[in-house]
Amino acid sequence: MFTQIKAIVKKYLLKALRNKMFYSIIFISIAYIYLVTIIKFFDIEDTFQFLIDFSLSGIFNMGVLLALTLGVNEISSEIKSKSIYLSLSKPLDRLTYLIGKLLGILIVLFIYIFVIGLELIIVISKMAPGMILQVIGALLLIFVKLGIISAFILLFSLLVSPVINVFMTLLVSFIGHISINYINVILEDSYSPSSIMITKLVKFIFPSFEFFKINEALIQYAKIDFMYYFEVMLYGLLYTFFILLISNLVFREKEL
Amino acid sequence: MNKRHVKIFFFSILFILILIGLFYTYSLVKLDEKLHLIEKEHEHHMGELAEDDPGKIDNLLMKDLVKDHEPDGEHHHKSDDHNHHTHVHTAECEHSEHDHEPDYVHIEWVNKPYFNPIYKANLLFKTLFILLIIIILFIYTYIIDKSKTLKEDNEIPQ
Repeated sequence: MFTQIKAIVKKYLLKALRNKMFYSIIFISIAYIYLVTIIKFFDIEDTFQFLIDFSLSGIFNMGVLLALTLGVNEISSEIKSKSIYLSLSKPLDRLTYLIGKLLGILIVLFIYIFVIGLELIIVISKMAPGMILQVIGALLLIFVKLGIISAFILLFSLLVSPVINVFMTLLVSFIGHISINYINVILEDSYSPSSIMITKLVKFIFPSFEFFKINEALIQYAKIDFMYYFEVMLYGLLYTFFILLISNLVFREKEL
Repeated sequence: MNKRHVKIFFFSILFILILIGLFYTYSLVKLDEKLHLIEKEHEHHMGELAEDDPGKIDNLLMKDLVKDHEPDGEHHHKSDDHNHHTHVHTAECEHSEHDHEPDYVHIEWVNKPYFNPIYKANLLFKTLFILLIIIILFIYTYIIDKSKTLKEDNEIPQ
């Protein structure tokens, strides 16, 4: 199984690393972090707070763009060009095929997070050296969050066209980021209890990205327990695997 | 096992999982209501009690958080607009009515999962829930209805 996964990942990486979009996004992200570091808006004195807030959100948003570029066309284009038969004609479990594809996307995303993270850590080390470990934790959480998004992209690529895939992925990201406090405090005043209940159920099914967002704590120089990072990462990895299993159920129903 | 029975089994498990989810959501709503009530009660007593009420939820949570960055006894506002997050209440403080209004920013901060044990428990529950679904999906895919998944699907017919 591992040999098969390795072969699929290798094949995927050869294709993905030739993609110019990957290098463009890395270049734009590096420039973005640099600009956030040097530009001062509205006479903000504490540059650290500004840098953390803008850079972490920017890294995630660019990461979503990269994940969409890498994954949105992956399986559908292989089905169209019929090159998928080359892989599936071998004694290969379809889940193995999906794991290989996802691992390929994750490796590219890891390279992206590593390069941008390195730049961010160098900047942070000059401003607040005590916060480096927390920033590394935040970057890892962004990586796991992008992993969940990538799993959704693969699932949607089996079900819908690439354009709808983009919209659905962004919708998942949006719902995932809605805070349960927002539903409890803001929406409860305007909507009936039954619709709030449905909203909460939807929120329960979709990934809870609010667990991954620790920007506010970093801005306040708060130290978060390392166990928390571990728990959130475990949740993220399990959720990614859960989406992969759902994708497998959909994939095996496809007549290929 | 008959394919129809397999499907009934699968959907009944899904139904049970949805029921657990609903029950969990309902209990979380009740828990939130209780938290809000406790906080409102504290706000109500705020006028009668001394300024630094040790029982107030944000004090309980924030004191540990801020003491790393502010020396004992020292008190200052990090910004002119009275930042809730970095503020430690002491007896010498002068507070306006606005300080004790439970606004959304305040509630959002107090209920952050990395500080609030209830919301952290919520994370652990979700993790366990997903683990349970993964086990069920795995059993369904590889044991109950393996005909479409396993290698036989791709094997060359004899």
